[in-house]
Amino acid sequence: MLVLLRQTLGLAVQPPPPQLAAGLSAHLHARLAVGLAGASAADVETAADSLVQQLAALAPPSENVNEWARREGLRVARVLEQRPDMADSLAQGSATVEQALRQIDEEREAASELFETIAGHHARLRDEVSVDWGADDVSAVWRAATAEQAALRTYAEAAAEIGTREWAKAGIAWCAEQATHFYRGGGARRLALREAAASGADDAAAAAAAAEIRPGGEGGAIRLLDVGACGSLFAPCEGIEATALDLCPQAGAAGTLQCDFLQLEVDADPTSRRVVAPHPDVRAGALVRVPAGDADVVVMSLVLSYLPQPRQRAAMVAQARRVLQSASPARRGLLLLVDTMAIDRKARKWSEQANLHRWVDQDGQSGRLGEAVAGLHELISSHLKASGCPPHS
Amino acid sequence: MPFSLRLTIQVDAIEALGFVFLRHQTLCRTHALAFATAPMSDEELAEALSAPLPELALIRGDTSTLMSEGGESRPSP
Repeated sequence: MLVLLRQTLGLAVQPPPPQLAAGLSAHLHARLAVGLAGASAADVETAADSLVQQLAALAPPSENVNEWARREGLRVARVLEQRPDMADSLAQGSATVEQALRQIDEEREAASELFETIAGHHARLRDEVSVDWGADDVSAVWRAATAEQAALRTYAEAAAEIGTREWAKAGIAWCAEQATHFYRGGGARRLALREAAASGADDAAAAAAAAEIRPGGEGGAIRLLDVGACGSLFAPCEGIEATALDLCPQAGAAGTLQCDFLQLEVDADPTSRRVVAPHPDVRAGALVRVPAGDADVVVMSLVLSYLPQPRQRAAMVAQARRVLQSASPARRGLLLLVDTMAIDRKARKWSEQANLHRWVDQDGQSGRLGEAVAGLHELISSHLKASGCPPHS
Repeated sequence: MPFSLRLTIQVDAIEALGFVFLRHQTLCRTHALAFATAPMSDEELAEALSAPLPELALIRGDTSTLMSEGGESRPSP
């Protein structure tokens, strides 16, 4: 009757919105409600209802509505759990599911480009610096590999973007906390007592020695060298006097000194001074030489994994030790390393799946169960490959 | 190779360069290590650093054990 009336009035006939299967609708509602729980001042149930209806209406005619809504709905739900700002927009109706999906796709594409930049640069370094570290010409090889300024700048921009991520900032916060704890929170004292116990010295002597340990900055400030810095990340940290160094400082990082840490000269004379030379592209200049004991703390956050050679990483650590050297018992330096860790989700073969191996082995059933899991892994890998997804995604 | 063994190998390599291991911590998407300098004279340090450099492999492994211990761990002595 309504259709007839619309046709009579000349209005276009709108097909009814597609309906999702009842179970799927309830499942999506629950998952989206969890994602929306972080939204401020919102009726979560009503908002989740609206999102489910939008999803059903958005499904392209060429797709199975239930499959499409399930896939995209869960994608939105996962993102909402991490993004209270998006949850707010959707809950308040200031953004639609269609806009949210577009935003998620754009962000994913940007992240993919970022990953390609970082991974591509690392792969190029690995290819170019394939000589064994310790060979005579290795410094020249490294200098040549890092001489291309355009590639370095692109990489530096990508690395700076990574530096804004919460997990990267968490590493910086951890370093600041460790440095403060060591010099002001009793960490140095505990170390001295532990060493005294190991050497058979008495506690009183150890406590006296520990009391002497202090940072070397003016007014007791902790002098921190941030190697491979994406900017002045330690600037907000009270009591820390940070110097940021980078192979290729970003244009916006005004205070960061250009420095290839492996080439930095360390003067054994602790009374000598830092030498900063003018640099054509870096306003703060290039750090050329430091005296031994120039820093209390050396931080390398996401730096060692940048270096392609195992001995080159060791050379960086050795260089840090030279910079931290002081013959005075009142000076104990700190080396703080933060890096990513490849775990099983990046494994591409069954043989690399240490977690699964361990799980299987726990019950002593590594035989048939192991084969079954290996077969399943192969099946999933081949399926992902066929669908164009990388195995670790 | 178990994670704790990989960690021990890395810690040993860094300690050979004049450091004392303090702690390891698993963080979100990363992990972190803290070392203090071992007390050494300039001559002792020069001797330690004149030895061939050790290989410092990146740690790849399972973090679940560490997480179950509150995210903090020391490698076995």
